[in-house]
Amino acid sequence: MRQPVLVLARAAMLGAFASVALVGAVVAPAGAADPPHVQGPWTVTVTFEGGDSSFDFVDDEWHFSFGAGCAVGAACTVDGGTGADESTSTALQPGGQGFRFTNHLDLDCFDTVTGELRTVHGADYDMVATLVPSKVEAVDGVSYVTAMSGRLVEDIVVNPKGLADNCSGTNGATKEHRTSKLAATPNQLPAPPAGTSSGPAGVGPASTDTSGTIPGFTLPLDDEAVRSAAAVDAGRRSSVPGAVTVPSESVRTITDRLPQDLLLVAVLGLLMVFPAQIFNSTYEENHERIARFAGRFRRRRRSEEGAAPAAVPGRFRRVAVFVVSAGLGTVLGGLLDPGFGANRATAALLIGVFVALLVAVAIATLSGWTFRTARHRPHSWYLRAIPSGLVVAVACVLVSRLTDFAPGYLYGILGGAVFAGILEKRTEGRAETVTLIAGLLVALGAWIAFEPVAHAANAAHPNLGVLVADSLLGCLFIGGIEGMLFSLIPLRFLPGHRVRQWGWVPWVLLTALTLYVFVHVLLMPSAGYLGRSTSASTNVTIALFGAFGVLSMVFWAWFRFRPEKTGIPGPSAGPSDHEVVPVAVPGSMVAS
Amino acid sequence: MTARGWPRLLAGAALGVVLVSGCGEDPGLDTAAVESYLAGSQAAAYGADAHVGRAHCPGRPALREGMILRCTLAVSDASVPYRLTLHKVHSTKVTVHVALDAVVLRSADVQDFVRKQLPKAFAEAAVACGADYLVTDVGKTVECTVSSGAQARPVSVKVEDAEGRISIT
Repeated sequence: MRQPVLVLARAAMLGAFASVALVGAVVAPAGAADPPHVQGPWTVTVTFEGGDSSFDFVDDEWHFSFGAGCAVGAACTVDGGTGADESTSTALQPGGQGFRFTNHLDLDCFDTVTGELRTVHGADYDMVATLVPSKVEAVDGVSYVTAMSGRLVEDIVVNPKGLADNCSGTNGATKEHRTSKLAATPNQLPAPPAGTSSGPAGVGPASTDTSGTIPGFTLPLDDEAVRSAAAVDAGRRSSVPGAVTVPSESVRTITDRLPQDLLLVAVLGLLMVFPAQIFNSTYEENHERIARFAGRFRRRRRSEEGAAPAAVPGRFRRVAVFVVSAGLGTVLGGLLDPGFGANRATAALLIGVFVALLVAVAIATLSGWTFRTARHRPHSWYLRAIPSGLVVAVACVLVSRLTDFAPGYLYGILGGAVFAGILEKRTEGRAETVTLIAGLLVALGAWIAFEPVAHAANAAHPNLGVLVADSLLGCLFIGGIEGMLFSLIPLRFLPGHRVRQWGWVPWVLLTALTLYVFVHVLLMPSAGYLGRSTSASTNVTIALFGAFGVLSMVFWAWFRFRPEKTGIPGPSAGPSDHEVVPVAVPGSMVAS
Repeated sequence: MTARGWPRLLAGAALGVVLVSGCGEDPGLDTAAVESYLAGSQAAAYGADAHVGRAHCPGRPALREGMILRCTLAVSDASVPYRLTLHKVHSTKVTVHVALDAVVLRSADVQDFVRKQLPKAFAEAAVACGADYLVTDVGKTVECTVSSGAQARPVSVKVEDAEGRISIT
């Protein structure tokens, strides 16, 4: 009977090795004083040292991966095994100055002749391995193990059950023992192979490139102007009153801006005087020739100088034409606001412009009537509309909008009161002066009253009444100052000519004051137009006055270099000073 | 008007016009508004882990249509250059086009790419490429260091295109 012998069998392993999900426990970076770390893949070489060599359960070379790192002296599970079983991870325990790990296998006994299983778990295999750092290197304050050495001890013992079945090793022994030397080194870190990323490895233009808008750049704004700009931007308030600088801010900046304000006043003043002088003198010297020239195009010219004016149309028709003209002028005034549309701000602006027109006509009429009554002059009057003035109003709106001039040119002679009876030259000059002063006072008064109303209009939810008052006062000021400015041009057909004929001093005073207010408050406000540029509107204003000068010179040159061929001698005596002509007054109206 | 008076008048008027032609005021470039827009527009462009800080547009260039501003934006520990083009500068709403003026790589993405190129056994190797965000350009290289334990190896990563594709050559 043959004896059963012990054979190498790894069929039944008991739990010295447990599968562990985590391999290479991550540890926090350690300082130099901390225990060294074993990191990355390692190769452990097993070299037989002594004892029985009849069994060989473990591989000669083990591959452990310590992953992100294991601290020496701490439990750690690493990838890889010894080959003694099919385990793919190894649990390391603290041992001595390094790691210790063990394994146990239940061995079965097989018949060496038939190969038949004779004894289940007839012997036990145990191994104990130790690995201790033999070389440590510090990198950036962290100690890393760069080499380890150790020992592997393996034992096989036939247990009583095996002994009962006569199990033994191939050499007949019931106990076997062997030792091996372990040498561990980290695997060489390879150079990464060439390759290209499949996608972007960063922040590309697709996510960063963008377009958008920011609020327009503004000149430095005072607190009220900031509120005005916000209210206009939000559509709560019209830009026409919104762009008017309040008196307190204008007064505050008087000294800062005095030199350039005065320079501009002086230049505009000169551009008002000299071209008008040229025009007037040319007109007077060539009056008869001009009259004949104009007569060719006039189907129904006015009767001879000094004759009674044409028949006055019926009252209803006069009022109707005036109201329609004023209505159209109101819409044009409303178009000064880029935000014109079906909204509360536009509604308030239209009401404000219309009422301002009526107030201006009333002031001009009242002042003219009062003067004539006080001087015992004829003071009966009738309403007269000048629809052709709408053309001027359209031009003003276009210029304002094209140059972003805010609040804009609120101007255009639409009509007004016509007084019966002709005044002598000096009296007429006084009457015009009174009317212009009245208009200036109303405009400045409206501006002073404008400040608290503008403050209220800039509130979050202003009522319509406040918005209307805001527009009305703003328009009275804008229309008043701009109407005064154009009326004061000493052109033959404008009030400025009659005031200047009465006296240079009142004309200069009125013109200088009006020009200064126009320049300082409307043309070049310290905060711009709601903070926007004032360059374009300033240059356009200068260009308009310059164009007036050029046209005057062209007018003069025409008659100077094209003498009449009819043989009529010399210049005429000029027109009568009592000629009845329409007169512009503040508020874009007409009185005569 | 005399023959001698005309030239004087014309010269005086012309001089006056020249003197006052520059009287109007134009708002200047508000760099603070532009910087604020830049920082705001890029808040979502970077990851939630990024800290998008302040933008800076140096100098005080004159405001003009189509002007280009070169600004930087602090993103975590990097200063990212941008090219901003301004249109409708005199309008109530200024249009700003923001364009990245460099290739910006996310360091973590570069490190992941390098790590994935390594053999599996070194999957846990440490890769360091510097700051969280790397500002570079197409054709340039970013120097990284791969380390495992005490071993370290430099790796050059080349920027292939403006989108941020990279390669190891």
